[in-house]
Amino acid sequence: MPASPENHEDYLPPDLQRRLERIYQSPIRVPPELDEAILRAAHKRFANVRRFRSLLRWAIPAAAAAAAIVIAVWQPWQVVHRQATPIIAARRESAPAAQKYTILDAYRVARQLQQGRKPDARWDLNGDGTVDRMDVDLIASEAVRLQ
Amino acid sequence: MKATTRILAPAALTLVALAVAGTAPGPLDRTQRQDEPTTRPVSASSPVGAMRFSYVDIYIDSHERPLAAFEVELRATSGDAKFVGVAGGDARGFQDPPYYDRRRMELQKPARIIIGAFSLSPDLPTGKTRVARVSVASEANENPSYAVRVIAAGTTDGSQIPADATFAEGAAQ
Repeated sequence: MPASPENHEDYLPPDLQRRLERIYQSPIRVPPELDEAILRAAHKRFANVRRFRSLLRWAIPAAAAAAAIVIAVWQPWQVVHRQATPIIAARRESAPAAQKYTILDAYRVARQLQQGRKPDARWDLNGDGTVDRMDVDLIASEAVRLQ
Repeated sequence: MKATTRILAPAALTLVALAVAGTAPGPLDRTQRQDEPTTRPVSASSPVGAMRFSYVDIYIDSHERPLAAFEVELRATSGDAKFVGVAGGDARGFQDPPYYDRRRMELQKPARIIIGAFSLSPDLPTGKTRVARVSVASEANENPSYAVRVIAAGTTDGSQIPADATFAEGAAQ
């Protein structure tokens, strides 16, 4: 639809239009080589972005898969598991009366702690350098452990 | 076709990765078995479907000596019963749930459990006292039978004392 006073949003009086054209007419001509160079640079840039996106599409799932496999195979919690058992197993070798603990062992150690006496250091089952209530719990748990 | 593959292949790879990670056991499962004293009771509940829930009360008779510590084994001698929880008794000093191997208890077939507890209270029970209640799940038409034996019982000075273990069955409310 041509500009006219009726559709006034686009309408400019012809005189004003000419004056504006004179004001904003650029005296500088952009050579076509420069246009092409700008276009080439833009194409190159967008190609890089496309490549990067394509790479991401594979890299993220691949990294997730690798992480999952590493976790499944390595299983860090097994390290905790393996560490916990030898502590008790090794201590069991040297602990008093210790092939199989009974609840009486736990009671005796707890009683010594209650009376302010220092239990034998060999009852330090968790290896934290002190015999305390946690060791009593470990002794009792060992006593009731099922095979 | 190529575009579809480009979209679906990473998604499939991600799903495989998640599936692999999902099949690995959780860290809590492994560490709890080793380190955590298993003392939390599982309360009995109403019958569900074809299951029947009951309990076995464990009694220790330490005769005239104060009972400071006990360790007993309870096992099902017939019937397809499963021990599903342990609660304390009503004897002085033994009202808290005893120590027991919660995880392995649920795997025992036939059902078997070792429970133990001690008390540092100066006010300890003598004679026959109820020291624990074991919750049992079984098939509705099963009528399991049990046996109990004392592994260790001790008195206030930590010495072992002779004691007898008995049990009584009851139906869960």
